[in-house]
Amino acid sequence: MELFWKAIASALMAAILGVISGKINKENAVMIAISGCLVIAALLGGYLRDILDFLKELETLGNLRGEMLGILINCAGVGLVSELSAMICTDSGFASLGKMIQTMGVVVVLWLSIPAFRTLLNLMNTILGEI
Amino acid sequence: MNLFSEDVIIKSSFGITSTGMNIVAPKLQEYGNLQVPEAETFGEGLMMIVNDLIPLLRPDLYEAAKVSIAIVAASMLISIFHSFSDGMKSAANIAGAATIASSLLLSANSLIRLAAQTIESISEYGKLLLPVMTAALAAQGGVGKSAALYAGTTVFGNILSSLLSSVLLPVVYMFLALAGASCATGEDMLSKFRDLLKKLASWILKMILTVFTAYMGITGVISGTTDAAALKVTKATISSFVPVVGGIMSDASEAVLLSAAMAKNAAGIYGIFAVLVLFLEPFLKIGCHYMVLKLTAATCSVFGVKSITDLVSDFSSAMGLLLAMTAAACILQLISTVSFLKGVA
Repeated sequence: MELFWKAIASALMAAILGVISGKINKENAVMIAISGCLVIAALLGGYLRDILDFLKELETLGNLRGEMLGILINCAGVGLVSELSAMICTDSGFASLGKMIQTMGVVVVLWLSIPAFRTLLNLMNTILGEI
Repeated sequence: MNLFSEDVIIKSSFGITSTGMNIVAPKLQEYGNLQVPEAETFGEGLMMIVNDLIPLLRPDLYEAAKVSIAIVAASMLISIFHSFSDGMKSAANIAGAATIASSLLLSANSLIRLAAQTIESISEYGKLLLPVMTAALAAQGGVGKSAALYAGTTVFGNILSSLLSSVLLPVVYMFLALAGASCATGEDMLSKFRDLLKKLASWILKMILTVFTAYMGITGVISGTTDAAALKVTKATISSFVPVVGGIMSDASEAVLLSAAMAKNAAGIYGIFAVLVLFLEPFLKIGCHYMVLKLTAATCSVFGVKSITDLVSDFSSAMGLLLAMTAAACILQLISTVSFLKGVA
């Protein structure tokens, strides 16, 4: 939980510094917000690593097919990075850029899940052939 | 093992002496002890079948547990998507639904095929057992009842069998497809269609079993009474119209009828066990998956991913429908066999 409190403290400090420096120079406020986000993302990595380790344990325990979980892990990673980037762009005043990053993230998530759709489609074709 | 022994010789009951034709028979008692475990009561026999089945369920439990772990792991990851914006959340939900549906559909497909095979086996076995029971009941004097029961069982059995294979099993596939689509898109209309299909399947099964049970009950009462009256009249006729030996013949006919009843009961009890053996293994296998999926749905709900919880619940409902279908096919055979066993009052 130490990382969590550190992240909260970093976010609050970045917000306060951003508000104060924003009155003097808006660019500085944006830079502080970006730094805060990066610090929180780095701290988040610590938790995500544990979650991924646990998922690997589950994978070993259940003798699971790695590709299916791999798709979801990649989707989660792409989602987190694109959301973070989109929010930074929006905060910097480039909302259109942020929107494009989000759209890009959605498209990449769908692209990543194509093997899952293909497996489902093959399975449905097999079932329809049997009926 | 030497099953055949020269010292066990059966003399022909058709008057041929042992010198003319020696039949070397198997040591039935010894062979029986080796092949068939001893069961004194119906309950003991049933318990022996169940005990033999439990080791067969281990691979299925392992497979179900594997699927369950995969779904729980996927749910953990999908719960991360819920912090994303709407567009990303929708895309991630679609990816999650496709991943989980493909894992679940793989095991569901094999179970649906197992249920279809079981229903077919029970139906085919019924086609062998019921003529035997009909003949035995007719020999016991229940000519009207046996004909009515056989006609009813055959008609309802065929209706149920063809409905299951041509309507209800495709309905289960459609139900699963709608459940997957509803989970991916979150459309209310799809979930309503899905519920409609589930209700339709349950209603058809309930209706067929209710009508069948009512038919069996009414037929049993009406034709059973008629046959009993006809038997009494026949006995009285033999007793009074045949001079001198009429009474003896009437008593002898009672012994013949009792022998026919014994043969019918033996065939009936064996038939019940055989139907149970055909039914119990697939039923317990599907039941295992049903229970594990229920447990998985409860675990997934902890992560707060409602769409995935609903998807897993829908797959467990599909397993429930499969259980109901196999049970309906089995109950139909059991009810008809028991109706034949009741015999003539």
